[in-house]
Amino acid sequence: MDRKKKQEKHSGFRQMIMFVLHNMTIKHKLISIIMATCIVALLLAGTVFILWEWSTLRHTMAQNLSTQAEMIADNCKAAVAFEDAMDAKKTLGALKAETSIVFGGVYGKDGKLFAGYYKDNIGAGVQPSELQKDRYSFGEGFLTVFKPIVLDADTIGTVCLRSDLQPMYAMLKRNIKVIISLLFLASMAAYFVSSRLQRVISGPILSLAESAITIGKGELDHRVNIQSGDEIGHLASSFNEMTENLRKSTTSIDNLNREIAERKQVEE
Amino acid sequence: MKIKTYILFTVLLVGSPALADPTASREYQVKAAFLYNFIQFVDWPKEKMGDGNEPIIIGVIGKDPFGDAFDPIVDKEIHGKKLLVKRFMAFEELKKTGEKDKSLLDREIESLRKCHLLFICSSEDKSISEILNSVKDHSVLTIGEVQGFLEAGGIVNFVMEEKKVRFEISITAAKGAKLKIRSQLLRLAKRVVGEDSGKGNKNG
Repeated sequence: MDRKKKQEKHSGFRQMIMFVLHNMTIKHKLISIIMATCIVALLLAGTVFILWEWSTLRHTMAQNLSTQAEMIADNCKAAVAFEDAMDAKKTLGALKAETSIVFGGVYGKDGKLFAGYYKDNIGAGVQPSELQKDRYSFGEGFLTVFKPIVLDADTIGTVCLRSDLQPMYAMLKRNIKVIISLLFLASMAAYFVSSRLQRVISGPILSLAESAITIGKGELDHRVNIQSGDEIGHLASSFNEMTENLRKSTTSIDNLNREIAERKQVEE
Repeated sequence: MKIKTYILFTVLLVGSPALADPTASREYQVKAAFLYNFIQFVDWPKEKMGDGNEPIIIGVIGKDPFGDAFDPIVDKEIHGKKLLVKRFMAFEELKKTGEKDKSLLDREIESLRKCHLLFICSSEDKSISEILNSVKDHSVLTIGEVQGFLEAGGIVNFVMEEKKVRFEISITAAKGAKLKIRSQLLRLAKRVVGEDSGKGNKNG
């Protein structure tokens, strides 16, 4: 029962489209084709651009955070070597300047937290559950970066920085909005241009159609005036030839009919 | 029965000193690690460091409190150089042996001067000035653990603060020994004496 209804809906939809397409003028068909092409192209370009930007943004963010982690690691080398947690905490305090960083931690060789920075005193919830080696990862709404603290080729600890992804998402959303606005603007421009340019094709065709009506009414002296070298121009010349032939044969038939009528009169 | 107990007691008492170096206390394990780490944050003049494979020498003079604390370090390398821990007898004893054999005294003092770091044990309290004098101008990083060590001319002095090992540094003495101490290390010092003494006493 359901499938039948769906099929009916689909064919009803299709019928509607067919009806619309069937009754569109050349002008509208042309404009629709051009607009459809433009919009598809713009959408594709926009999507690719957004994807590329998202990927680049992630990569840049990860690199920046990694660099910051390395700098922190270098600055608290001594603090870790001489077990001065207060000094390490001070070094981490500099992270306040970077508003997207929610957690910064220095871990000792044993993997235990040696000193920590929490943005706005968020609390230990933002700490990563386990230490990892030198790498970065996106997850749980954060970008997490680990960097080893190295003293003369010996790893004496690890630095972990965690950054909120909200700023990145906010920027992406902004960019998407801009691109969508651009899409609209470009579409409007496309509409404006296409509705002018479509006359190149539809003009001659309309003129031909009008001439056909005129000639159909009986004015066999009417000629189509299309000079272009393309197929429509050829169609116009053929049309004119056809009209000329029709005029000639009509004239001959008229002449014949007149002669017959005259001969009948003479016989009577 | 009683005799047996007495014998057992005596054996235990006598036996103890015969044991090998006792496991170093946590304090000296940390101090040994710090001595190793100091090397990373102090710059010796080129002549002292040398270009070749000469090892970096950590000297310990006096009654050695470290025991096996240096074990984790002796196999390590710094800047491609090996580490060597040299123990010296108490200065007073050195002088006594010197009275009998002057050349021995001279050789020992030469050895002392070759050290990059020299840890002066608390047992040498009375001889500090003499020791510091004999290694003067030889770019030796002198480290002590008694009060007034910096004032006597030493460069680094260990200080205990609530069971934590801290240290104080004398920039004047470091400059005198042509040693450059990195700022990362300086700012960890509990007290800095010298040209930067605008810092004076630091808390925590």
